[in-house]
Amino acid sequence: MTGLFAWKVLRQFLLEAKFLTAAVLVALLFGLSTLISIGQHRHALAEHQRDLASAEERSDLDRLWLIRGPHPLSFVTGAGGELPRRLTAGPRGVEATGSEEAPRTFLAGVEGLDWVYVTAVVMSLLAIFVSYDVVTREREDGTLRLILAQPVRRSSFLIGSVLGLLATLLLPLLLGLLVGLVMVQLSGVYELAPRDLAVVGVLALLSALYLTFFVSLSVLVSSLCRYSATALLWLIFFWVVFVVVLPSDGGVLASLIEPPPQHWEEINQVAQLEANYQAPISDYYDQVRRVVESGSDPAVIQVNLDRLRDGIVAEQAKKVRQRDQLIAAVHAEFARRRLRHLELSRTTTLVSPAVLLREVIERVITAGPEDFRQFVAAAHGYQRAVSGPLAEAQRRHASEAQPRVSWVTAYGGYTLTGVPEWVYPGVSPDRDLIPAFGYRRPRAAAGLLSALGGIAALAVLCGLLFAAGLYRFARYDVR
Amino acid sequence: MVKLLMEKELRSNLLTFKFLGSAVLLVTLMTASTLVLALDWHRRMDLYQANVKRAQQELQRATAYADVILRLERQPRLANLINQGVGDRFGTTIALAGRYDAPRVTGGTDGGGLQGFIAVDFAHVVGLILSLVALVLSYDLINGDRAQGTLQLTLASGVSRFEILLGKYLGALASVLVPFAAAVLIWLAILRFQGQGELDGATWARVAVAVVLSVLFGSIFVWMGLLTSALTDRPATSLILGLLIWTLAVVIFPPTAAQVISLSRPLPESPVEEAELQKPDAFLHKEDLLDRVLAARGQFAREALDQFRAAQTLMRLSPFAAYDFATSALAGTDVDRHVARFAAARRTDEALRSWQKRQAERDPQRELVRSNLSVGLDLAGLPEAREPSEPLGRTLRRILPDAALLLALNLLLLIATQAVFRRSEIRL
Repeated sequence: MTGLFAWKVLRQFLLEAKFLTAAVLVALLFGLSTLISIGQHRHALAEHQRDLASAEERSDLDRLWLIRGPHPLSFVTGAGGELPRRLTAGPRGVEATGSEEAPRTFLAGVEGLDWVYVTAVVMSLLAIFVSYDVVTREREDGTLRLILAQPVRRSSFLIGSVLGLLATLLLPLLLGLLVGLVMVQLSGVYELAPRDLAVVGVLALLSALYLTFFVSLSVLVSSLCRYSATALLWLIFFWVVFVVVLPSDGGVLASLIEPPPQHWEEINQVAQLEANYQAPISDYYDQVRRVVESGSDPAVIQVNLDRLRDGIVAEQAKKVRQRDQLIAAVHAEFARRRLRHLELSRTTTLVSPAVLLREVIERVITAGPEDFRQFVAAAHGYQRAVSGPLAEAQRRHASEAQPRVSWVTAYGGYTLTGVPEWVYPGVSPDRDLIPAFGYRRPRAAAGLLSALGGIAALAVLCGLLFAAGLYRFARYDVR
Repeated sequence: MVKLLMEKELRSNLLTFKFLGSAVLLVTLMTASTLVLALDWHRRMDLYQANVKRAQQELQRATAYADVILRLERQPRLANLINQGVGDRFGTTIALAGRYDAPRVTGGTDGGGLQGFIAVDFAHVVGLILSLVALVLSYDLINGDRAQGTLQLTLASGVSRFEILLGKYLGALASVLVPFAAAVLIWLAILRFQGQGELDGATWARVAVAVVLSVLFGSIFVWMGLLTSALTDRPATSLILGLLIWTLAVVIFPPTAAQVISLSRPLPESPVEEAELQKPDAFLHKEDLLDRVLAARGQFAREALDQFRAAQTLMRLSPFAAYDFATSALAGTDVDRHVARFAAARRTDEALRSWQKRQAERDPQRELVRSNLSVGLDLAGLPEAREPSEPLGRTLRRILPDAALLLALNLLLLIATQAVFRRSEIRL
């Protein structure tokens, strides 16, 4: 009997011109989003190649450039492309160098139209449109009484209808995914491994789970209402708040709890640290004067002056090391705060199923903020690993070093000069000492494991909503 | 008669669940977003004042003419809270070093890819929520009446169809304006108490124009609801149709149009190796290099602006985008204002260059050598870096096309609704 109800719902929609138009529209939207992603990915790949070349060229013994490439499945979720792509690692820690480039276009800042977006926003709306009147319409038409007059259990009617609705919704979803996948394959911009196709299959399942949530919600709301229009209104309010407003305005609540860390703050703090460690030349002048005035033999004075200079340089080198450690700590602190803000703006909006879907999918394929988090962790690991070899290489290339800061002071015909800090511009890192940086996104299986919590939450929500719907429907007044 | 019909619609709307839900949604979102923005505004103001002070100290401390750097700071204005526009994506400070360095843009949006500015402002809440409220309060006005049979009875009492339509429109608009007025009052109250007395006459005028634009924008969706209501038989169907149009026009179309344009009109590769120029003293005595860099940047900016104009034209198909452009122009946060800021910076930079040249010829010793001579630099005739301001009249002229677009859409929908309603069946 359940199958019969399911088939009835499916057939009813398949014969309806309005639904078919909507399905084609959704498939077109998937196609358009794929087209946009392909264009953006082509651009991102070219930029990545340039970044890699310039990283090779710009890396020296003071800082190594680490480049985060575009995600190989960026058509699924393009979020995170605006997070820093270039990091530097060196004695001064790991720094994200995001803002040194001027904004390229006046058009930036628009939300990406990727697969997750189309599913989360458009497909959920379609799910509401097909299922808001699953109970009320049958009642309004009077057919519900006739159906229940037959020896049919109420639950099998509801379960059958839900299954039929899901089958109905899978049609445009799968059609859209198929259209998108064909375009991705034909474009030649993405290189999909067979494993990636399996990942896309998992994504289709997750999207189906997400749509089940909306169908279950519709069932519950529909069995709470007497009229279709009322049920639709409730559902639309829910959709607008949880799918449209919450995800796009996610940063607000997080900013209220804790203001986002600003890059200029980081720059200012580092500049402050650098300023604190400038050589106090007037002190040196006093010391030189004391040495010169205390002796009369020029040779003795010179020896004393040399000793003085060595002392100053050694002390300053120690200070420079301390300063670099402090700067590294500042960068690490800001990286931590940045990640925490990303996490916070996610956590505060996780009540939105659309955000939950994005979070789960990003975890499965390691994209977006998740990708950035892993990349930053890898960069910190790399920085710790190369700090020894970098020092070694600096010793090896001591002859090519140039003074970054030098000071000079003179009194009574004697001059004293020192270089506390050396830089190695243009000295490319020795490959035998310094390993190349490699960042590999974890496999999808590991990602799936970390996404299990989110998936379970979504599934439990679906189950609860559907159970509540069943409970209400069992007591529904069918007249 | 129209007035009577309007009052009836207003009264019947005020007691419904959807009215209550809409009002709560609108007022809550407006209050929450404005509170956050007001806090953010204080932070911005503190930062601006600190920056201005630091720039002055820097000027006084400069010991060589090459160290004289002018900073064009973007002053936060209370009117910015109407619509954050492009935010500080184009920086808060433009540092001008004349002949010794290319202008540098600093501050503003965090390089860490976080939301450096908060996008939920007055215009955002109006654009997203007020339009929806307008739709929800008007989608069943005609087909609902038809289903209940009251439409037939009203027409029997000698009222013309146009009067009925007008009455329904005004009633729906009035019931949209009730929660909107509450939201605006709350918004103004927060601005008033957080704004530290910055609410001057010009700001008030800008706010007033923004409110008028919001009403025009909301009214479009009232007409949309009436039109779908006249076109369909069941209220649920007209709601679905209206929501589909709303989703396309407000949520999907504007960003998609921008992305389509950015792909179909790609910008050229950045012609200068900017990283090379980040080195200090990259331009020392290389004025031809500086000229080339400035020319290349100017060319790039012109092409980016052309791309933006093309996107703007396409995006204006959605009333949401037109409303957004108009309000951000009022708020002084749109792309054109930033372009004007960059142009002003360019002019100041030119003036600074010729000033530096004069000073260097007069006093060559103090051009580059940083000495601790106690005699300060001669800063007479130094050009002043000032952010260009735009009088209200020019802003109004600028937003005229968008305002006209909103008005025209209202009229168009009125005519279409009347045409459909005149021919429509009055019985179910």
